[in-house]
Amino acid sequence: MTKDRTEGQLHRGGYAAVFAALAAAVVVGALLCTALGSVSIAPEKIVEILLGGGSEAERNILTQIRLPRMCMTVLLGGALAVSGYLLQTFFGNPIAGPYVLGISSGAKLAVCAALLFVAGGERQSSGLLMILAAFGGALVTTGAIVLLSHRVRHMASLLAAGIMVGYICNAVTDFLVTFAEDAQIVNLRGWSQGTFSGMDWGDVAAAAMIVTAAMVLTVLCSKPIGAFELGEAYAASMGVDVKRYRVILILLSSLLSACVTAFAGPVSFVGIAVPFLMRKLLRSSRPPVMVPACFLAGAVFCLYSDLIARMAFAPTELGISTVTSLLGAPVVIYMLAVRKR
Amino acid sequence: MENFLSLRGLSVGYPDRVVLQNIDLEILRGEILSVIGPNGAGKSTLLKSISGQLVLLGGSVVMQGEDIGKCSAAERARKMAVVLTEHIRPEYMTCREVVSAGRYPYTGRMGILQPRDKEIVEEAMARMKVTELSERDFNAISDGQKQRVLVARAIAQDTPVLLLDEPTSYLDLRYRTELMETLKDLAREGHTVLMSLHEIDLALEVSDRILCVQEGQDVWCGSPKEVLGQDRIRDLFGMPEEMYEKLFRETKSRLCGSDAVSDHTFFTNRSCKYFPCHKGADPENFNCLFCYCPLYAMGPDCGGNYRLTRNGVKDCTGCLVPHRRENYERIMEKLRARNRAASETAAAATDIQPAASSLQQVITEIQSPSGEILDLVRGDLSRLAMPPGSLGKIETTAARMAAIQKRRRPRAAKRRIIVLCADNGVVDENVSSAPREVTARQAVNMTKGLTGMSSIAAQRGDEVQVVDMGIATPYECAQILNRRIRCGTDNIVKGPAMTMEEAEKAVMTGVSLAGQASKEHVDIVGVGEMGIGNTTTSAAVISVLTGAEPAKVTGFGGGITQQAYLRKVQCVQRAIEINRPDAADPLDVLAKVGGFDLAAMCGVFLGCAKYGIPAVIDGVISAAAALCAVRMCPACRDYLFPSHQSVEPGYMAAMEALGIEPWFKLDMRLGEGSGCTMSFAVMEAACAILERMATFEKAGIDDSYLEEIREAEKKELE
Repeated sequence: MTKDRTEGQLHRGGYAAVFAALAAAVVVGALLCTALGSVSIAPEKIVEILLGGGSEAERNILTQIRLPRMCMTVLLGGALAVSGYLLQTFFGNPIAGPYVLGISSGAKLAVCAALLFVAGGERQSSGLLMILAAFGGALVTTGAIVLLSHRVRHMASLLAAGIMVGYICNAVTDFLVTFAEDAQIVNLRGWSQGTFSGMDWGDVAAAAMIVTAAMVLTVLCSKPIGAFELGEAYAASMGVDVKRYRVILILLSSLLSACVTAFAGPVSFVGIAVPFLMRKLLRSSRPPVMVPACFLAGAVFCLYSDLIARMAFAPTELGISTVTSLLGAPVVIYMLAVRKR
Repeated sequence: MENFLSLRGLSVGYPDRVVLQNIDLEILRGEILSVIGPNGAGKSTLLKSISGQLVLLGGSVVMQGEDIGKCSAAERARKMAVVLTEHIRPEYMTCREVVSAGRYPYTGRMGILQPRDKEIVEEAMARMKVTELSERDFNAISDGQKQRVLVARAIAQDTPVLLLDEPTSYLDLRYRTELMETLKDLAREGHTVLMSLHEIDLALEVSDRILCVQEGQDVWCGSPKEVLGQDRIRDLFGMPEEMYEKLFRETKSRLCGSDAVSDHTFFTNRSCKYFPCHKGADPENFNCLFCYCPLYAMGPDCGGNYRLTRNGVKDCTGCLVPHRRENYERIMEKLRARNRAASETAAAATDIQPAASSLQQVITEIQSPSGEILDLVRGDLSRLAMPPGSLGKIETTAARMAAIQKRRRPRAAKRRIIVLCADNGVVDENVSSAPREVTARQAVNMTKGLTGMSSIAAQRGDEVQVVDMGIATPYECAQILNRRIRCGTDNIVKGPAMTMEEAEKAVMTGVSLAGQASKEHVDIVGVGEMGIGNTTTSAAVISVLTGAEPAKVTGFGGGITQQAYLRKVQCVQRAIEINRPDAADPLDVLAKVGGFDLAAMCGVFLGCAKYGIPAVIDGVISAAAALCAVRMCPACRDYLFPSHQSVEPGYMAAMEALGIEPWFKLDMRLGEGSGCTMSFAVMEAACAILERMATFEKAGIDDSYLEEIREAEKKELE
């Protein structure tokens, strides 16, 4: 790859290979996630169980726990990666990510407030309350960012504003935590590590609807997204309604990441690292190529991270953010160190 | 070039600061407008405001009637393409993808490029010579190459207006010059180019107009010549006098030097497809009078046999001065000298005798137009990419003009309407509502472009030559050519209008006028008149020559009462009875019941036949004169072209006798040569199709589908 760089030629191709590899990785990862766990189910047995055989317990584990979890991981992992891609294209900045705009902080604040003031302290990480609170918090923050975007001329300023909003939310959360009882905030701590556990089919359905809708919209916006590669000034001169698309892109990205945050809590680094890696791999930034690639790669990343989270120190489950950070942060560092001229 | 882009009351700047205001400018289609000014003057601000990047503080930008500010971004993208000064860093985009982005406004929902889009992209890249960079990463090429790619992107957007902010940044000398050439080509193809430039020399060289901006001051716009002539650059940049002189003295003298011969004749025809230099010119097509090559004005008397040099410039063997640009100054001097000589002879000739040869000689010298060229051009026309004969009379006119002018590519660039003015004695009989003085007054007004015909002619760029053949009332006007035979004819009711000698003198004067036109390389001539009472004389002439009854060929002329009309008819009858003109001798008819104007017009028609100039018949008086000419010399008929169908009843009688059908019916009955101006437009069109239309071959059309039709036509002719 470095050789190509210096020659200046953009060698592409091998898209088929990359996509095939990603697809294969998704399938293998899905299989592994379904098969492995504290109770191992051999791959061959999976099919048997699905068709009606196997023990009651195994069927329960498979259909009520493993499969929904695996589906959610795929959906949410993909959603996060695409969310990150949208923001990176838009800001023209490779370290832009859904959490940079303070969305996760807003969600966390909302969840914290909900746990402390509304719920009684039940441990239900997928409780409707928490989901709604996280969604609400994320969207309120998004709303604030959108309002700001109308008044701000350059996207770089918006990025800074988002970071500030994040800080404010974090500070308020910390403030609340200071005066809370341990029993209440234990849930919060667990939740803020991010986890894919405790998903049921209802969650899967809801997430699938939201993610599908957002993905369809994203695909429909492929043209303007591509135009933004040349910068806002040129995009406007080519006929893109820049103000409108600013809002649309932020909304789409936020919808996707809010969805993830609502169901799985804040999952970090997927949004930053995956799009960056895909861009480098595919040497293209065109939406029709990048969007599916990011989705698949995000799914892969999360599937394997979730596997590690579950298996590494079984039966203790690590928070997913822990794993993704450990895997993802080095990537970000590498990326910062090896930036092109 | 029509008004294409209007800046109205524009005020540009930032919310806290107005940079420029009260900008009112009409920019023409195909114009290149350069914006110059010192750093920080507001050039970029102005361009960004026009393109919509910055919000207008006031005023509006109107393009073809639409306010751009009210258009959506998508609509605006189809009108204007930009090249900005901002650095962009697209991730992983090839140069081709960057240029393809220019097709954004035209591709569908998903932005997929159609084959046509891809073609346009390739063409744009070829134009800017970045094809070899197609597959390279945009971020990996040099700044100059990036700039060219971005210009290619703007070209690919294929908009009527191109806005370029400092397009020559980063470009080396060669690419800078090439970019200017490309922009000139684009302007020639109809794109309007607005750009800001730091290089004044480039701006002066390539722009049609230059806009000088300075923060806080009113903007000023003018041609490069005006910019230099008024020393605007010195004031704009606050340059010390010596520096300004040193830098611009040469350019100034080059652009502002020529006085007697106006430059624009030679420099402004950007629509000439060989502009700016006759690269690869086809010999037959090389007939653009207004081309960059000023030497073309030398015309055939520069030598006649020419060849094309390697640069495609016409080089005459045997010519005194080869047609190269370096000889421009010498040629201009020659032309100026020639102009001076011509005006001197014109001034001296107030009462010269008509041409040496007699009328008989002239008539015998008239030959039919070249049949060979007619066939050649008909062949050329049949090869043009259109259904055969679908341009009807325009085609036949083109062929006929070519045969008359003896040029394979006829010309209608220099057009003249010769207006013969004279007074008639018959006005004493009160056959006209207008008094006799009107002749003189209108003749003078005609030289000023104030009459019906002359105002149209002025608009169209047709020349008007007013000739006094016998105006009765005194007047003062240097522009009217004096060939007065007498101050008005005698009353035809009482006797002959003039003597035979006078008649012959008048006709020969007409012939000499045609000769003068020929010498001055006039391409087509329209024959008009001005003379109170001449519809009466014309009615008499037509009645005699066609045998029609006076009542049938007498009209209301300038407008008279019913009583006066009856008197008019009676006058015509009496005039014919008393004078008994010989219908077989047109000169006799003219002498007895005609007028100086009619006789001279007849002479002009004969002269045009002799000298090979297409002549256009105007209204009833013109038709009467044409009838005389054709009766004198039948071969003359092939040189005549009709114009409008006059409302006057005598007109159709004369035209039927001539066997010529008028071209259009506009309910006109003014005379003066007004119909000729319209016919000139048709003749210009005829020349244009031969000049510009593509043949089937060039258009890439396989015309074998026409074989059948051609065969059928051939069979019909056989």
